[in-house]
Amino acid sequence: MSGIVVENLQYTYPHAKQPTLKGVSFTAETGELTALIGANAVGKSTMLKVILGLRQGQGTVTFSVPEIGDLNKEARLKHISYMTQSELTESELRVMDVVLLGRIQTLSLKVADEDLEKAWETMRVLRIDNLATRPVRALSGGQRRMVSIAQTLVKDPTILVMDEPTANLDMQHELEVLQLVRAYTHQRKTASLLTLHDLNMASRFADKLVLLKDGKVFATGTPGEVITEENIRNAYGVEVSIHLAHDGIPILNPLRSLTEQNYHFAL
Amino acid sequence: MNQISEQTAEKVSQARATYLGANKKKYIVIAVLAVLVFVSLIIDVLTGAAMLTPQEVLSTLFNPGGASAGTYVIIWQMRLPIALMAIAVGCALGSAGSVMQTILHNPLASPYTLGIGAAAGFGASLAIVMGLGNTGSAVLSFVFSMSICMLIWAMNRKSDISGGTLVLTGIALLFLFQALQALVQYGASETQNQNIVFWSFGSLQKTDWIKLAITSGIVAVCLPLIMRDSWKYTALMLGDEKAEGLGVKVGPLKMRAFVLVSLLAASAVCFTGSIGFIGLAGPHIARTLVGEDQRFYIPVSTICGAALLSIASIISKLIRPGLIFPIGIITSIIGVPFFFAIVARARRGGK
Repeated sequence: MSGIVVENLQYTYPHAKQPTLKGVSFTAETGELTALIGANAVGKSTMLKVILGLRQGQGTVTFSVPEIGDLNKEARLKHISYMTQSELTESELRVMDVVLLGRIQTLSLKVADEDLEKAWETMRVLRIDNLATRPVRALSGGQRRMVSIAQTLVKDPTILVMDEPTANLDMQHELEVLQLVRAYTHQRKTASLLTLHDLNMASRFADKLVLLKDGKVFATGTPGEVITEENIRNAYGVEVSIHLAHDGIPILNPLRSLTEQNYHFAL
Repeated sequence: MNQISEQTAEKVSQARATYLGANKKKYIVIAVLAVLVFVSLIIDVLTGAAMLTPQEVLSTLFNPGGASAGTYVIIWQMRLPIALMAIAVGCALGSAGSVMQTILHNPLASPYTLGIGAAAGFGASLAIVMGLGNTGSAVLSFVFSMSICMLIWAMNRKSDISGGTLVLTGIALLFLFQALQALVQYGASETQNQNIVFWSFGSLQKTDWIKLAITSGIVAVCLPLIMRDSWKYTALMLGDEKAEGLGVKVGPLKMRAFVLVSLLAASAVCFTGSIGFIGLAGPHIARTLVGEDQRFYIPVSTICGAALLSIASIISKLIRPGLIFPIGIITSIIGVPFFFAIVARARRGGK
């Protein structure tokens, strides 16, 4: 198996009584888009951070790709990209500088031509090269996300980790981002691991889903295998109806929350 | 269709040209400021209480042996080291302020507003009361300003308090040290009090070559170390979490920054007393001139600090010919309008 191999990953927040991750194992294969799904607070973002070594957990994570091999932690960073969930903050920084920062491991005081060319190339592919000299504060939410993605791809990662890349985007931008990430993953043969909250998007774009519940993998496999009425009821506590689209992709129709009370608003 | 892509291509090459052009402009800004500092340095050496003609000053500078003993002392022991010290201290305060503002994400952070100047003042007044002399007051003020930096750092690390809260903490510490200094003054003799008051004005007049060498040495060592991390500081502009995501080790970076910044700030205030607003105004001007790309922002802020203090040094001698006003008073009087400008700008920017 090649890709991101996660074995028996455990993590407990400092001062927390219960562990958040209680032994998670799965593999995000090279050339595949793997989506982590699960209810809020189940530990999806935390897991990405533990996998990347930004939080100290137990268990093993192996980046089993030829580019990384047994490189040390520092040298690995040249091949691993991570897009955080947080939005780019208001700043006077220009788009070009923000994109260049994606290659921070190789940047020197005087930016090398190779870094500049790579940044232009990435912005061109994402069609944001006309924004290069704009300050971040002048960009719309959708544009900011594209800049973040350019920053994530500019180093040509072989391991691509993204935390909710489509949060707060409208439908068109959401589709655009996921099409782009999927195409990148398949063409460049990256091991891509994304957290996604929209199950229909996950079902449509991911090659493989990992459904988390109570700090463990509840179900894993193709969207057809994971997106079932029973799995969703158990993991999310909701009732859904699922039917198949003409291309066999499961489409999910949310019906009601099982924890729903009978609401009585006294007037 | 073709037309559209041609238009886009044109737009893109325009964007490239604009980007590279903008970077070139920033180098020009640096060059212009450097010239400004140099001109200011010359004027600073030319002016002073002793009414020397420019010819006398220049001949003493280039041919020290040919000058009279009095002129030699005025130029080589007083004016030149003081004028150079204004630049060194300006560099130290300007760069320290810029890095503080970056790592604390707050445009109001500076060696003065974080209470570092006040701590140095307290250290110096303790030394004066204990009769430790000039060296003693420099050492004690250095120790106190370094320790307040470390205290601020520890508070920043221990809890996740925001840059804003931290600046408030700094201001609280400023009041604390001012009160402690007042307490020391309360028990001090009249002569000691005079010395303390003079020290707390902030003044370059006690400069000698050794002090100049120490301050500029620290600047010369710290600044390259800071510049080496300039891309990492730029990453911090995106927020600590984003920077961490890019692979920057935010904790160690900030630790390193704090040590260097403390050294810079302490090396400035320990010899000259509390000079306010250079560390606030320098970075502010730099941000307006070259934006927040730290490769340019930090050096420009450094040179702005030098220019401001050097110009202030000239003004301090021109207000009343024959008399030199303490430079700390001058910088604060220049500084307050800047402070208002920052607040007004922040409000407009917040819209």
